[in-house]
Amino acid sequence: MELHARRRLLVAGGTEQGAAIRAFVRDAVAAFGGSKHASDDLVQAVDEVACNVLLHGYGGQAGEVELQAEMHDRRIEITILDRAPVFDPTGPVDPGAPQPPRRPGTAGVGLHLARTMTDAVRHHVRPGGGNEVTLVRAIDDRTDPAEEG
Amino acid sequence: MAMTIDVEDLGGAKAVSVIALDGELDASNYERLIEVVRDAYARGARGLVLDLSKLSFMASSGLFALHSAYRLMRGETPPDPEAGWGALHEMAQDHDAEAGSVRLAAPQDAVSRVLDRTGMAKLFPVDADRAAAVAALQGA
Repeated sequence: MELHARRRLLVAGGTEQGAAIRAFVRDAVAAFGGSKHASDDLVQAVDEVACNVLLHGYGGQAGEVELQAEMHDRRIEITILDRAPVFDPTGPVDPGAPQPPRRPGTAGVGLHLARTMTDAVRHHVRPGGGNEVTLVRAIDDRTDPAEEG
Repeated sequence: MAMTIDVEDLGGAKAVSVIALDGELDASNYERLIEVVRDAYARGARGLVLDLSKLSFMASSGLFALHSAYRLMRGETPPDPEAGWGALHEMAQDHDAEAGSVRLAAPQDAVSRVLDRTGMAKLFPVDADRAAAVAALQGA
């Protein structure tokens, strides 16, 4: 199995960090040999989740977000870690479903994008508090899921 | 990467503003786009072309800006940012895309995929370039 070092980025502040977050994801996917679509999809998904934390996770206060990128079995895994109150983005976001507890302003669109752009989303509560959200995407192009309106 | 916004007002049978976005439209700058559209409407524009040919990224906050542009060009207030999917579906129900006054020109692949995945591509007419979008709005 091909080995790739884990890559890390730590950012603090607000949504102005989005550009740095997206650049980190693009660089990581390129280093892992991912396709253009894999890069675009992960950039989108990570931006939505990470900026959601920076906007709402810390209740309007500046906070930190750590990103970790790894590859396992031709799947890129990008994990977003924070110390914000527990928020599970894997809950229902279908527009017809009852609204789950959510952070203000998310309203599901960004999380819907994060899910449809990736193959899997995992959430764990971190020891000591905070969230660990992992977005998984194959490094190759894939068949697009059905478009949703 | 920052985003630059270039505005061109065109005369003709219908006053059209062309707003060209260059860079990345995200949570840090989408409100600027809404303000630029608001100003264009205040100057008399009744048709709007968003030239996306140099826009490499659009976050969900950018989709909110598109929805806001649609509402502003109808003389309405922007949607509630908390409304999320509800606002988009409300838009879908009252929207006649081909009759709309906001057209998108030349979106890049990454942006097109976001528009497709959220159903927004069905709500805004998309043209190959800004000239085609302007012509469609002015009935040329």
